[in-house]
Amino acid sequence: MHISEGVLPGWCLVAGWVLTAGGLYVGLKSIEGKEVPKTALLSAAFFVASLIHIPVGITSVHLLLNGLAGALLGWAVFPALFVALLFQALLFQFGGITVLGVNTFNMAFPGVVAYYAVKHLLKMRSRTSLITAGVVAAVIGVFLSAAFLSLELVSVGSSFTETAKLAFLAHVPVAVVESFVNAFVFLYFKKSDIQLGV
Amino acid sequence: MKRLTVLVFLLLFYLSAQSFAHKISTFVDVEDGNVSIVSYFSDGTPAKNAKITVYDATGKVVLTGKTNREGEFDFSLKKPGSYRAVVLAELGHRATVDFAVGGTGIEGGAEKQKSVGRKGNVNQNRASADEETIRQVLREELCPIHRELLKLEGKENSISYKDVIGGLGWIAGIFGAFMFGYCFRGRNRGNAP
Repeated sequence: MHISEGVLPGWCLVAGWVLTAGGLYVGLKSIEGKEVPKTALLSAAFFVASLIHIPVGITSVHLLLNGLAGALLGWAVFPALFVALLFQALLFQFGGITVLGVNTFNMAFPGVVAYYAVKHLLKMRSRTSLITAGVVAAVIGVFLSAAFLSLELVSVGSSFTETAKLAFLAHVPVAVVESFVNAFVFLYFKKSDIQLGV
Repeated sequence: MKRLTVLVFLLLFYLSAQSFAHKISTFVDVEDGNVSIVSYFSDGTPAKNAKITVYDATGKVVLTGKTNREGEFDFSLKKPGSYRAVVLAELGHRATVDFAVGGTGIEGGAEKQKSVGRKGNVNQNRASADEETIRQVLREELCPIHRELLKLEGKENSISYKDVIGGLGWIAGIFGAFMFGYCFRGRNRGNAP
């Protein structure tokens, strides 16, 4: 889900940076002191998750965890993913510095959407609602990211339409695996009585 | 709780050891208009079933195809010129590679065809046959070096645990500094968080 350097046109990169800067501003303002460790933890989880490929059928997927991070962090998902993506770009050359704005927005904005979508479900704290919240967060996080990615790649030229379609299809297993992960995390939080802070 | 955490970590490291690849490397070999593209993930496993799209200099799609189980895709291009191949493996991991068809390779081919046309000229035929043999031998000789280069490139591109742990340290440090600043500010105001 990292767009490589030099694929997108300049205006797209600038737009990405502007949107990400806005998200970072709102995110940093929204972080309260005791939420910093949580933000750091999910940032680290996102950082590692992109490196670990899980074989599913003929292909291998890596988890995005942006739905989970968004659901737990709200707007703070912007700084969390920004830092993680920055180091992925610096250390592993995934994506790049110029496309960092676009990549952060692609990942973090669906997280924010997932946050608003599952906010009420998480408050209910019943088993079914928590599982539903996990699935919803995963689906929104993964497919909205794929949709943004596709949209940006389509804007490059019609030749990318098929590329984008493929990227969309390839994320179905990611969404499925992530649904399980999210549900597991939410249920675990309930079992060990950790406040979700939403 | 502790045991669970350890278990999860072990599982993650086990999975990561299996395939720790993110980028694909692509190599192109052009021989008399016959192009073969080999695509590997950075850990050396071939990019199976990856979609390859070949564009010409004007950006028009010339042909599309898929790599086989060895991550190879062979095709032939008649028109000389510069081309760009875009390899798309699963999950939008893509690599682009530029190559040129033509120049010496194509000229050689054209000459060969001419010489076949003029059947009387045995010398020229023999020369081109020799050239073909030399090419074949060179190709075979260079194959291991090719592989070695690929392996080196793979090593260069692959992710080391050092980098992963270093990155995690950076993240902890940045948020730690943020936390420190927050606490410092809060203490000065007299309402520590």
